[in-house]
Amino acid sequence: MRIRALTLGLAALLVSLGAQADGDAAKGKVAAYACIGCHGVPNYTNQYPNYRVPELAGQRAAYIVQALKEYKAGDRAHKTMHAQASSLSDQQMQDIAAYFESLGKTAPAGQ
Amino acid sequence: MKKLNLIAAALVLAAPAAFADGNPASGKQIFETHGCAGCHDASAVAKAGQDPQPPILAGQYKDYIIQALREYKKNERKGSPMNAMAAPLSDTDMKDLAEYLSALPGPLGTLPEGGH
Repeated sequence: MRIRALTLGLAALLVSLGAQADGDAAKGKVAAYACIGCHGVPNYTNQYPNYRVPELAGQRAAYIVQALKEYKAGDRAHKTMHAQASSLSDQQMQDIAAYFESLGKTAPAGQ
Repeated sequence: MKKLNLIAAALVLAAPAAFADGNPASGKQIFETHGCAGCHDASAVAKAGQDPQPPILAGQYKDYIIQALREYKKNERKGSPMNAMAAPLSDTDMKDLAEYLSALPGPLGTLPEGGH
Protein backbone atom coordinates (compact mmCIF):
# COMPACT_ATOMS: atom_id res chain seq x y z
CA MET A 1 0.00 0.00 0.00
CA ARG A 2 2.80 2.37 0.95
CA ILE A 3 4.82 1.41 -2.13
CA ARG A 4 1.86 2.14 -4.37
CA ALA A 5 1.38 5.53 -2.76
CA LEU A 6 5.07 6.29 -3.21
CA THR A 7 4.94 5.24 -6.86
CA LEU A 8 1.91 7.42 -7.50
CA GLY A 9 3.57 10.31 -5.73
CA LEU A 10 6.72 9.91 -7.77
CA ALA A 11 4.73 9.70 -10.98
CA ALA A 12 2.86 12.87 -10.11
CA LEU A 13 6.11 14.64 -9.34
CA LEU A 14 7.66 13.58 -12.65
CA VAL A 15 4.59 14.69 -14.60
CA SER A 16 4.60 18.08 -12.93
CA LEU A 17 8.31 18.54 -13.65
CA GLY A 18 7.65 17.72 -17.28
CA ALA A 19 4.91 20.32 -17.41
CA GLN A 20 7.26 22.97 -16.03
CA ALA A 21 9.98 22.25 -18.60
CA ASP A 22 7.93 23.43 -21.54
CA GLY A 23 5.71 26.46 -21.72
CA ASP A 24 2.19 26.60 -20.38
CA ALA A 25 0.11 28.28 -23.07
CA ALA A 26 -2.72 29.13 -20.68
CA LYS A 27 -0.32 31.01 -18.40
CA GLY A 28 1.33 32.48 -21.47
CA LYS A 29 -1.94 34.00 -22.62
CA VAL A 30 -2.13 35.98 -19.39
CA ALA A 31 1.55 36.94 -19.38
CA ALA A 32 1.33 38.07 -23.02
CA TYR A 33 -1.20 40.77 -22.27
CA ALA A 34 1.53 43.42 -22.47
CA CYS A 35 2.46 42.24 -25.98
CA ILE A 36 -0.92 42.90 -27.51
CA GLY A 37 -0.59 46.67 -27.41
CA CYS A 38 1.85 46.52 -30.30
CA HIS A 39 1.76 42.98 -31.69
CA GLY A 40 -2.02 42.77 -31.52
CA VAL A 41 -2.56 45.73 -33.83
CA PRO A 42 -2.43 44.90 -37.56
CA ASN A 43 0.29 46.88 -39.34
CA TYR A 44 1.47 48.59 -36.14
CA THR A 45 4.69 50.50 -36.84
CA ASN A 46 7.59 51.47 -34.65
CA GLN A 47 8.12 55.20 -34.16
CA TYR A 48 11.64 55.01 -35.54
CA PRO A 49 13.02 53.30 -37.49
CA ASN A 50 9.85 52.91 -39.43
CA TYR A 51 8.90 49.27 -39.90
CA ARG A 52 6.00 47.09 -38.84
CA VAL A 53 6.40 45.03 -35.68
CA PRO A 54 6.44 41.33 -36.58
CA GLU A 55 3.42 39.07 -36.56
CA LEU A 56 3.88 36.68 -33.66
CA ALA A 57 0.76 34.52 -33.58
CA GLY A 58 1.71 31.05 -34.83
CA GLN A 59 5.48 31.59 -34.64
CA ARG A 60 7.73 28.76 -33.45
CA ALA A 61 8.00 28.83 -29.64
CA ALA A 62 11.73 28.10 -29.42
CA TYR A 63 12.45 31.00 -31.77
CA ILE A 64 10.32 33.39 -29.67
CA VAL A 65 12.22 32.35 -26.54
CA GLN A 66 15.56 32.88 -28.28
CA ALA A 67 14.51 36.33 -29.51
CA LEU A 68 13.24 37.38 -26.07
CA LYS A 69 16.50 36.27 -24.47
CA GLU A 70 18.47 38.28 -27.02
CA TYR A 71 16.35 41.37 -26.37
CA LYS A 72 16.77 40.95 -22.62
CA ALA A 73 20.55 40.52 -22.91
CA GLY A 74 20.85 43.46 -25.31
CA ASP A 75 22.11 41.19 -28.10
CA ARG A 76 19.27 42.57 -30.18
CA ALA A 77 19.15 46.33 -29.77
CA HIS A 78 15.61 47.60 -29.29
CA LYS A 79 14.69 49.73 -26.30
CA THR A 80 11.04 48.77 -26.02
CA MET A 81 11.65 45.06 -26.54
CA HIS A 82 14.56 45.18 -24.08
CA ALA A 83 12.26 46.67 -21.46
CA GLN A 84 9.52 44.15 -22.19
CA ALA A 85 11.82 41.13 -22.19
CA SER A 86 13.65 42.29 -19.06
CA SER A 87 10.43 41.97 -17.10
CA LEU A 88 10.05 38.29 -18.04
CA SER A 89 11.45 35.24 -16.30
CA ASP A 90 12.70 32.29 -18.37
CA GLN A 91 9.53 30.40 -17.52
CA GLN A 92 7.30 33.30 -18.57
CA MET A 93 9.16 33.43 -21.86
CA GLN A 94 8.45 29.72 -22.37
CA ASP A 95 4.79 30.20 -21.46
CA ILE A 96 4.31 33.18 -23.77
CA ALA A 97 6.11 31.40 -26.60
CA ALA A 98 3.96 28.29 -26.16
CA TYR A 99 0.86 30.48 -26.30
CA PHE A 100 2.02 32.23 -29.48
CA GLU A 101 2.79 28.98 -31.29
CA SER A 102 -0.58 27.55 -30.25
CA LEU A 103 -2.29 30.36 -32.16
CA GLY A 104 -1.02 29.06 -35.51
CA LYS A 105 -3.81 29.00 -38.08
CA THR A 106 -2.61 26.10 -40.18
CA ALA A 107 0.64 24.11 -40.01
CA PRO A 108 1.16 22.00 -36.91
CA ALA A 109 4.66 21.76 -35.42
CA GLY A 110 5.95 18.87 -37.46
CA GLN A 111 4.46 19.92 -40.77
CA MET B 1 2.41 73.24 -69.51
CA LYS B 2 3.39 70.24 -71.63
CA LYS B 3 7.04 70.73 -70.66
CA LEU B 4 6.03 70.64 -67.00
CA ASN B 5 4.20 67.37 -67.58
CA LEU B 6 7.27 65.94 -69.27
CA ILE B 7 9.47 66.97 -66.37
CA ALA B 8 7.01 65.51 -63.88
CA ALA B 9 6.90 62.26 -65.84
CA ALA B 10 10.70 62.13 -65.95
CA LEU B 11 10.89 62.65 -62.20
CA VAL B 12 8.40 59.90 -61.55
CA LEU B 13 10.34 57.50 -63.76
CA ALA B 14 13.56 58.43 -62.02
CA ALA B 15 12.08 57.76 -58.58
CA PRO B 16 14.53 55.70 -56.56
CA ALA B 17 14.08 51.95 -56.51
CA ALA B 18 13.52 52.21 -52.78
CA PHE B 19 9.90 53.12 -53.42
CA ALA B 20 9.25 50.16 -55.72
CA ASP B 21 8.07 46.75 -54.56
CA GLY B 22 10.40 43.77 -54.66
CA ASN B 23 10.30 41.16 -57.40
CA PRO B 24 8.78 37.99 -55.93
CA ALA B 25 10.03 35.76 -58.76
CA SER B 26 13.58 36.87 -58.01
CA GLY B 27 12.92 36.43 -54.32
CA LYS B 28 11.74 32.86 -54.91
CA GLN B 29 14.86 32.07 -56.88
CA ILE B 30 17.13 33.48 -54.17
CA PHE B 31 15.24 31.57 -51.47
CA GLU B 32 15.63 28.32 -53.38
CA THR B 33 19.22 28.68 -54.53
CA HIS B 34 20.79 30.48 -51.56
CA GLY B 35 20.08 27.67 -49.11
CA CYS B 36 17.31 29.31 -47.09
CA ALA B 37 14.99 26.34 -47.41
CA GLY B 38 17.56 24.17 -45.65
CA CYS B 39 16.51 25.68 -42.33
CA HIS B 40 13.31 27.58 -43.03
CA ASP B 41 11.76 24.80 -45.16
CA ALA B 42 10.84 25.08 -48.85
CA SER B 43 7.43 26.39 -47.79
CA ALA B 44 9.07 28.97 -45.48
CA VAL B 45 6.98 27.46 -42.67
CA ALA B 46 9.96 26.31 -40.62
CA LYS B 47 9.53 22.98 -38.87
CA ALA B 48 9.72 22.90 -35.08
CA GLY B 49 12.37 20.95 -33.20
CA GLN B 50 15.46 22.49 -34.79
CA ASP B 51 18.42 23.93 -32.88
CA PRO B 52 18.72 26.85 -33.33
CA GLN B 53 15.05 27.17 -34.18
CA PRO B 54 14.51 29.16 -37.37
CA PRO B 55 11.40 31.34 -37.49
CA ILE B 56 8.46 30.80 -39.82
CA LEU B 57 8.90 33.41 -42.56
CA ALA B 58 5.83 32.74 -44.69
CA GLY B 59 3.37 35.59 -44.42
CA GLN B 60 5.54 37.85 -42.25
CA TYR B 61 5.45 41.61 -42.91
CA LYS B 62 7.91 42.37 -45.69
CA ASP B 63 9.42 45.47 -44.10
CA TYR B 64 10.13 43.50 -40.96
CA ILE B 65 11.86 40.75 -42.97
CA ILE B 66 14.04 43.41 -44.63
CA GLN B 67 14.81 44.96 -41.24
CA ALA B 68 15.86 41.58 -39.81
CA LEU B 69 18.06 40.75 -42.82
CA ARG B 70 19.75 44.15 -42.53
CA GLU B 71 20.41 43.62 -38.83
CA TYR B 72 21.99 40.23 -39.54
CA LYS B 73 24.10 41.63 -42.37
CA LYS B 74 25.32 44.53 -40.21
CA ASN B 75 25.95 42.18 -37.28
CA GLU B 76 23.53 44.14 -35.14
CA ARG B 77 21.99 40.73 -34.50
CA LYS B 78 25.00 38.53 -33.81
CA GLY B 79 25.96 34.93 -33.34
CA SER B 80 23.48 33.42 -35.76
CA PRO B 81 23.84 31.32 -38.91
CA MET B 82 21.91 34.23 -40.44
CA ASN B 83 24.95 36.50 -40.26
CA ALA B 84 26.72 34.49 -42.96
CA MET B 85 23.48 33.94 -44.89
CA ALA B 86 22.62 37.64 -45.02
CA ALA B 87 26.17 38.86 -45.74
CA PRO B 88 26.05 38.47 -49.54
CA LEU B 89 22.52 39.85 -49.98
CA SER B 90 22.04 43.23 -51.63
CA ASP B 91 19.23 45.62 -50.70
CA THR B 92 17.42 44.49 -53.84
CA ASP B 93 17.87 40.83 -52.91
CA MET B 94 16.40 41.52 -49.50
CA LYS B 95 13.46 43.39 -50.98
CA ASP B 96 12.80 40.60 -53.48
CA LEU B 97 13.00 37.93 -50.78
CA ALA B 98 10.69 39.91 -48.54
CA GLU B 99 8.16 40.43 -51.33
CA TYR B 100 8.12 36.69 -52.04
CA LEU B 101 8.00 35.51 -48.43
CA SER B 102 5.36 37.94 -47.23
CA ALA B 103 2.88 36.62 -49.80
CA LEU B 104 3.29 32.94 -48.91
CA PRO B 105 0.53 31.16 -46.99
CA GLY B 106 1.29 30.26 -43.40
CA PRO B 107 0.14 30.28 -39.80
CA LEU B 108 1.42 33.74 -38.80
CA GLY B 109 -0.98 36.44 -37.71
CA THR B 110 -1.55 39.39 -35.39
CA LEU B 111 -2.12 38.52 -31.74
CA PRO B 112 -5.79 38.27 -30.82
CA GLU B 113 -7.29 40.58 -28.21
CA GLY B 114 -6.54 39.43 -24.72
CA GLY B 115 -8.78 39.50 -21.72
CA HIS B 116 -8.69 38.52 -18.10
